[in-house]
Amino acid sequence: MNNIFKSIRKSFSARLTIFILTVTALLFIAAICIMAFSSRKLIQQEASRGAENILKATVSNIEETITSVESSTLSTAWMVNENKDNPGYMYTMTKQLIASNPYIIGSTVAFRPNFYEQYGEYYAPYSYKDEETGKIISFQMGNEDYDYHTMEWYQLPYLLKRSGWSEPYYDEGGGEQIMTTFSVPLQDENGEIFAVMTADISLKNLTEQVAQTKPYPNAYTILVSNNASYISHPIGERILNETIFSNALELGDTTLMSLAYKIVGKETGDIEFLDETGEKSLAIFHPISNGWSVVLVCPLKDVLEKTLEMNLILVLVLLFGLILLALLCWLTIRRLTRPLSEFCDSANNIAQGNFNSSLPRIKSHDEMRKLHDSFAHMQRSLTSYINELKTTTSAKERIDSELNIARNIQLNMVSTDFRENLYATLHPAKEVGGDLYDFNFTDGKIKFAIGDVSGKGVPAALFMAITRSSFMFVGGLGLTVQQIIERINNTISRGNKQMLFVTMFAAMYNPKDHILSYCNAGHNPIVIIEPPKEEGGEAHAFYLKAKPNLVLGLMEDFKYEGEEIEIAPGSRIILYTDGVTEAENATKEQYGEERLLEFARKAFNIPTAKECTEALLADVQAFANGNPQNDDITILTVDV
Amino acid sequence: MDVTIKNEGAKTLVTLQGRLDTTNASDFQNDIQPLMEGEKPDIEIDCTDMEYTSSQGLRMFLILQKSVLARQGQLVMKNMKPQVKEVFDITGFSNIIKII
Repeated sequence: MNNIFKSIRKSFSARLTIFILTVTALLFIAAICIMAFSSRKLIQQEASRGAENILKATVSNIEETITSVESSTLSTAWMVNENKDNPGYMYTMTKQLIASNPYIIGSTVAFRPNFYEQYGEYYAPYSYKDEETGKIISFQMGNEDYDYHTMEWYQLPYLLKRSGWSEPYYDEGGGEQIMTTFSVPLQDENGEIFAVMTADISLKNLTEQVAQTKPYPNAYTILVSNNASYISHPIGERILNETIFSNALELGDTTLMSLAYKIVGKETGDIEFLDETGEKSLAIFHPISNGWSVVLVCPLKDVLEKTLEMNLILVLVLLFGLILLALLCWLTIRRLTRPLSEFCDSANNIAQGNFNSSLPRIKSHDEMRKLHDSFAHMQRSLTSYINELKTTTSAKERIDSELNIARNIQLNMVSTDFRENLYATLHPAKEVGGDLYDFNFTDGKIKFAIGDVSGKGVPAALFMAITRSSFMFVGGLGLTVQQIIERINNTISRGNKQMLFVTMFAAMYNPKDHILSYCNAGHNPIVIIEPPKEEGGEAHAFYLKAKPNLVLGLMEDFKYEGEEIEIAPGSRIILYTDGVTEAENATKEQYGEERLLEFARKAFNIPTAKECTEALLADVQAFANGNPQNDDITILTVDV
Repeated sequence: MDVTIKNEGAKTLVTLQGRLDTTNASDFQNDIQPLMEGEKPDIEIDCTDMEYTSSQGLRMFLILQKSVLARQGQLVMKNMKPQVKEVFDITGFSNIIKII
């Protein structure tokens, strides 16, 4: 399962498809909901209208029955009035009425007490239709046990002086069925009521008729009386025993209660309510002319069955559509993005150094084409860049190796034939540099010199080589330092169009008379450290004041002035180039002459010239603290 | 190194500011190229704000001086800070270039 999710996350087409599907599905669901809601309303309205029509048909059938019973009874009642002098004829009357109307199953003319003196208190000729034989049987039914004068069917028309229908009742002892009676008061010329004529009808026919009104399989129709008591109901026990009111009270259902009130109020309409099983149902009701009402109850589930069916079909169609869409999306996006994975392979190939790796073929003119062109451009650029890099790298390697050789040549050019009392070090800032030094010991004297060519690098190095060769040559000729300097100046001044120049300090020490002869050509002042005057005292270090004259290489035949100084035996002399005093630390602070003099004061106690030289170099490097060396550094120490 | 060149009548006034060392010596050479042209130049270089010069820098002044002399002109440097003046003195450049 995890693997499936991982591959979905990695696959562009899968992710896009899921996104599109989600949005589409949401839209579909919204559409279904709206359609379901509106179609449900529509179908419910349609259903309730249809049911109402069915109900009206039932109602008019019932009313037809009732009207026919009423008119037959009223016309017979008129004839009774005509023949009231003939009491025996009443049997015939009732028989005729039953015969004339198929719905009437019983009839009587019940006279008020002592209307006929010969019959006394009770006279009520009664006829009824025997159900088994179909014969009409007559008898006089009034007696002390059956005191009809107190009965509802007699009392109501008698007192109200108008005809009407009784509440339905269960006829025990008679037809053993639910019946209702239409009673008509009979009045004499004075308007006094002398008898009540009745016609009994069985509700069996009516209820059967009502029961057939069933527009949906689980729908049922009930007939209720004036006071909402059940005349017909699928649950038989309810008939005549319960009313909609009692039912609503029992269930605590206010909707049902309002239905009962509407029915009693003889209203027409429909109402939605929960039936006893908790199912949503639709009740459609219509009054009948005799004061009863017919109520059609349809479970909403049945009514809306068509909606459900329709919705189900809709959902299936949409589901099918979604699956189709998913398939199409996935295939299309995969086809469109296939070059991407191929580009990925190409990029990997290129990353491994294969710049001619083939690219996917793109026929479209969209972003893929742009990507393709960018890739191709990148390949070309990389190829030419790498080629260029190879060329420059090899050129640089060549120069580097040549410079290395040059550095070795240059370092071999300066003497390293040091003595106990003389040591020097040379550190070019680049591979090759412009500093130089030299020394020799001839005629019992020590000759030494230090120089610095303006600038650095290869030009300075070449100029240094010329200067150094010149010095080697003239240094051994037994000349004074002043003559040496002038000879070198003349040599290097010729043809120096580049205006490169050399600063130089040359000196010669004669240990016999302790005289130091020297000539300066624009070089930094040298440091002399004299031993303490008394035991345990401090050494005396100072910069030797020398005439600057002029740097070498600028003016041929320049007259340099030489000087002399007597120095104490055991003194130490330090010569250096400006790489020492101008060495900088990270904050651009220079090592400086003060710091150098400070070092010199302590340096007297350093045993050998070599150690002193190395200590000064270490001090300068410690001061620079890793800051890159800008200039060549050269130090020469001589102990005399 | 900032170089400002201004002409005031026949005189050319140059103002230098900052450090002149190996790293910017060739830029400086380009900056002073205008001074290498014209007959009988009269150049005055104000060094009030010049902090330092290396031997490369000295070379540039020397080249300028030679060029000026070849064109029968004159070059004067003024207001040098002591540490800059010292470099000119030590190397003997004070003998070649007029410093006031």
